[in-house]
Amino acid sequence: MDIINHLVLGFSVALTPTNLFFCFLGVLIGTLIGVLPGIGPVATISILLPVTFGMEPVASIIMLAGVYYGAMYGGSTTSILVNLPGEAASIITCLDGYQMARKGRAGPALGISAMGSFIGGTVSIIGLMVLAPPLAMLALKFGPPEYFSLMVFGLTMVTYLCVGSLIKGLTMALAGIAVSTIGQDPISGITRFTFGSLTLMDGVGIVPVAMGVFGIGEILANIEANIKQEVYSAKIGSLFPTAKDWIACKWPVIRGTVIGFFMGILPGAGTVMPTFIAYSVERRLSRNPEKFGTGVIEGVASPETANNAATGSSMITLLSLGIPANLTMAVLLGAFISHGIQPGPLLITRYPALFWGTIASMYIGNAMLLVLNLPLIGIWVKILKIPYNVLFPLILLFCFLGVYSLNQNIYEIVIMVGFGVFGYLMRKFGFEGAPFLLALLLGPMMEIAFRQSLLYGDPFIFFKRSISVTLLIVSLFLLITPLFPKIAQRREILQELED
Amino acid sequence: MKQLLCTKKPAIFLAVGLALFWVKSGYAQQEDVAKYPSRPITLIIPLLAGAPGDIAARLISKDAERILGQPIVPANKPGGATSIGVAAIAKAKPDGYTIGYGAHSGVFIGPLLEKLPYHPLKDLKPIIQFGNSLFSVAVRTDSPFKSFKDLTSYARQNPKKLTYASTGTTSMQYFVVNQVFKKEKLEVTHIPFKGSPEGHVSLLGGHIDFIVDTIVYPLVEAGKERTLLILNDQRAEEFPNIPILKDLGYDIPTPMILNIMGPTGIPDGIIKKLEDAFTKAMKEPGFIKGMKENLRFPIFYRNSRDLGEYVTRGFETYEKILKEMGPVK
Repeated sequence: MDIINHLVLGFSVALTPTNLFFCFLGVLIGTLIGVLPGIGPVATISILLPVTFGMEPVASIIMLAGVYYGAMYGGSTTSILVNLPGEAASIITCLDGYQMARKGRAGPALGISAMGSFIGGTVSIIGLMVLAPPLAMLALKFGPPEYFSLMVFGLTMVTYLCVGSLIKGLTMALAGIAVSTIGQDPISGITRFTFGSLTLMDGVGIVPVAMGVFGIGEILANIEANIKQEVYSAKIGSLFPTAKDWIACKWPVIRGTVIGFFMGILPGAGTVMPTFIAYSVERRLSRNPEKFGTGVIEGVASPETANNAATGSSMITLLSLGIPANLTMAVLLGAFISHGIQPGPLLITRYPALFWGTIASMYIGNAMLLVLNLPLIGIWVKILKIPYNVLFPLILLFCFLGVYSLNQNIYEIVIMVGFGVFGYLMRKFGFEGAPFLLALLLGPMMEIAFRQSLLYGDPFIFFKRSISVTLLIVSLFLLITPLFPKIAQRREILQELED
Repeated sequence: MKQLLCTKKPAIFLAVGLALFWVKSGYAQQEDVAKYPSRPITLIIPLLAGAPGDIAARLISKDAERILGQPIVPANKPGGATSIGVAAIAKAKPDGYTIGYGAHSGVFIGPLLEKLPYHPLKDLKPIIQFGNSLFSVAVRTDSPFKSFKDLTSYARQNPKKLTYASTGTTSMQYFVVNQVFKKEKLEVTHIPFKGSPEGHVSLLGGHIDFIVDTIVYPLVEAGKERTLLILNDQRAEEFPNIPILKDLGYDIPTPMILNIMGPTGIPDGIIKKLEDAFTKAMKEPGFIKGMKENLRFPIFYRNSRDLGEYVTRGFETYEKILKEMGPVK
């Protein structure tokens, strides 16, 4: 029983008072920056990194990892309360979370996201611990053609993200892809639609756009509607999910965990894409898909579970190959290097105390986060009692500070405000934000994977590789199936007419 | 009369004031040089915090701030392939309180491809070079190519067969190998990747044949990747047996330099103070250990004047290479 010996070693490291303290500090900071819109784990770990130079390597890695998964807990808070995604990984939580809050069910929404996060996060660590090396090999199976097919699969999910008109949803997805072409051409490096702006050279970032479309757009719409405070504070209701909620969320949490975990392994997929996929899958499988977007608890449970399930597995390629799977992992790699530790295939054998100590600390940290977040729910829902004319300037202030904190670039605030107006107009004309954001997120990845694949010189390469062709068949299946119930319906109508 | 006095008085005061100001500012500048540094210095790093170049710049500034007696505060300004940060250095007030790391893409490549608000030779003042970034050509360990020659001779017999990754057609490492292949008249398929991690994953997964990128030391050490060629001007102490470009007869400058630069116009006295402080910092054990053991970057010294000449030469060479290739604006 090697693994038990390893865990004993890990807990003996993680349970020392110093390491426990830094684990708590990490998850606390993580929760806070998760709650604050804009500022995310990348910026925070960057800021904290120099502070950790003087610390023990184990303590500093434990703390920085805590910031990373802690942020996924806090991210849902503002999504649910004020329709402002605290992290990019909580964009999709806005859809049903905010509607739940408007119905006086902010408590259960926050409760289920904390519990789902705990379950997803914990299962993900078990996966990381038991399966890290073989799963890293799985990530290697994904070359450009596989990535392209994965993105096609992701984009077919757009049709499940549309609550209202499908045509309007697809229009927004196309708009999202169009906006995603702004910036440097990924193959030739030539700039497109930047009009000489250095900021646009990197493309339009997902965070300023999400905060604009959801947060600022919502504020503008509310000001116009002269929103009455009663809408929010009428009834806050129970603070925790009921037994009925739990039964509804059982499968969404399980599926969210699986989707988040496996997508998190792939470099580039990050923690955002799994949330979109998990949400769309639930909507696809639901018996009442039309209720999604009106405040159903499954729509909060699945993405919030998925983003935490992705945190553990996104560390796999870093810890077993030394290759960071996303931007936050790249910064964490910097933290390892600055302590003279090179993560890679030899990490586990060379620094067992560090590796197993960090794993054990993640179990402890997730438990701490649950204990930390459940009592906070009572405090968070009180925010809804703040009069809106006091609350909205505060939200605006946090939006501005948050976006500026990303890269200290004032023009990103301009982008956010621009997309705020865009989001307001979208609301006025009944268009939806989620398909736009998913397309903006997937567009660049899909484009580069497609063009890379074609550089191999064979246009049929997508159908010649097993993973790629499987993903394409599944996508085709998903695209076609919604047509069948309609055919069945028509048959019934025809039969009725014949009778 | 009274009216006249009233109008004249301010004028006189103004004249006296201006004269005083003029005297004071001249005096103040000398005094500033003598007192420098009297407040914290900002160090602009055009990379994301945690990137190896960022860690290197922080490493040297930690020793330099002790010598200067004032804190050096790093400020990360990533984006625009480092040109946003380099522009911030070039546009800073030349009082010596804002300096930065002139990352090579923003100094040698960006200004040749885009219309940027600075000219690297006119608007930047090199202060010191303290090291080199290491770039290499690497293959999987199970690859049949044991040397760079193996690779080129295979490519000669099998045109368009080999595929390789780099972080894009605007990266210096791409220009360098592209020049090599051009000289050898080889046809090799280039597949650009968004970032270095994606490229290495594709290499290890067998989706490409080789990669032109920074050395990922843990993969080399664990026997997953083999380095065939180092794309630097100087031989790296850490890799004594791996050939550099010159060994194979290629004369292409690769100024992938770790450095400190400031905006043009900083008084010479202040430049001297900074140059001395950073030179001393290079001898500190903390810096040497961090570079050698943690980052595995070669330490390399050029003073302000030598670095200035080297940057000018490098920029002019790249201007020529890029003009031949076509994309210069």
